[in-house]
Amino acid sequence: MKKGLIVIVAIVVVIAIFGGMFVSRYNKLVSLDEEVNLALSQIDNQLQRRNDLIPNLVETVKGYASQEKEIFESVSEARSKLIGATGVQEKDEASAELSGSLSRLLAISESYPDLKSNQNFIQLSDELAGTENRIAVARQDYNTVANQYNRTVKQFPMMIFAGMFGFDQVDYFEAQEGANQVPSVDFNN
Amino acid sequence: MKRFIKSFSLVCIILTLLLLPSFGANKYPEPTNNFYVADYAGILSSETEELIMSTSVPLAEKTGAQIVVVTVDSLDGADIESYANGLFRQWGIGDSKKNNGLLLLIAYEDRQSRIEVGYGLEGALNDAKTGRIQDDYLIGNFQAGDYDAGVTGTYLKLAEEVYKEYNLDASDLSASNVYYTPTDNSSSSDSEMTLGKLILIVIVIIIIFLDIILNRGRLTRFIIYTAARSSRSGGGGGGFRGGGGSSGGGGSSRSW
Repeated sequence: MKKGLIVIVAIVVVIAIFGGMFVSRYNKLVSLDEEVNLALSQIDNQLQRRNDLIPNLVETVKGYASQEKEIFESVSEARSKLIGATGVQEKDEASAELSGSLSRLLAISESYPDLKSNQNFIQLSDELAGTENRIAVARQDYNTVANQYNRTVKQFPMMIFAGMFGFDQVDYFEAQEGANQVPSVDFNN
Repeated sequence: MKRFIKSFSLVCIILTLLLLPSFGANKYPEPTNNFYVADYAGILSSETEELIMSTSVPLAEKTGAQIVVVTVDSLDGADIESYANGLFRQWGIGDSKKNNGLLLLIAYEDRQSRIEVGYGLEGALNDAKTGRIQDDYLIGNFQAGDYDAGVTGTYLKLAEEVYKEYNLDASDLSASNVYYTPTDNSSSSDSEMTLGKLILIVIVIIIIFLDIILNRGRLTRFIIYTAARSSRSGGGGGGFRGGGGSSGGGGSSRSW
């Protein structure tokens, strides 16, 4: 009788320990997953913001340098590619491409002094550079939490739960740093 | 029993080590005791520093917004955008909830400047505005070699925008200037001895005592050595500090 009771208590204790472990690990995964999504939406916000800036900027540049058709085309092409992109990797590549086109767009101001000193152009360039920098920061923040999440998902006891509940590893934003450099604009030379 | 004391003292020693603030290993310089101005490049006059302190301190008391001016010699090869963002976050400029910090960073030898804006002030100071402010107040003065005028003009314009954001009048703030006295007053914070401090001191004495008996004072020597090394880089005790604010990379950069 007494022995039976001890066995039952032991079983209950074991179940409670495993149950508790499970719940806390599951919750940790959920909150990490949430953080990853938040970081991702942060990037999307900034990409959207850049997208909204582009038409104005292109119009302003066209006013002074309408013959630079090739660059306008490459910007609009990269822009629509990014709009159509899904998934981290595709978005990342399209975004880097657009950054490249945009920095070329800004660079042509070197050959057009009137454009370069245009107040509207200066403002838009600052907004664009700021947004590019925000994208860079948001990418970095995303990669930090994504790394934390991926490491958690891969570790031993967690990987069992993660597999069971469909917590897959996430991709990083790792397009070439150079392609995504903030276009630096120097208005004073 | 002796074994118990030995392991107990070991635990105490480890805990103490964990509680010690971590020194070094940081990419960015540490804030000064004045926090709001750190002239590592040595290009600002004491009048400029006093002006910054006497404006930033009451502003932070009233609103939590922190406007910080940092000059460095060089960015060590980093681009100014990531340097400014890293320093901003490490120092925790601005209130941790409102994220209303503002950083004016000057890289003297690289001839670059940046205004980095915390999330909470992006509405008041969008990127274009921060660029315009540098064009109007900073670039010309810097090109002429007048760093004080460039920093002062830029700083005051930034402060004005923050006042506006919080519906403050500049006179509201200058009236409460009493917070800051420009001379060194590092001893003022030691005047009160709380019970907590007393207990802490007693614990430290016990640990040192145990360390000397059981460990031949190795830990004590190590701590003294570490403290002596770190005291060169300043930091610790008194002064002002960051509120834990963050920035998402807003703002703009210029070179002169």
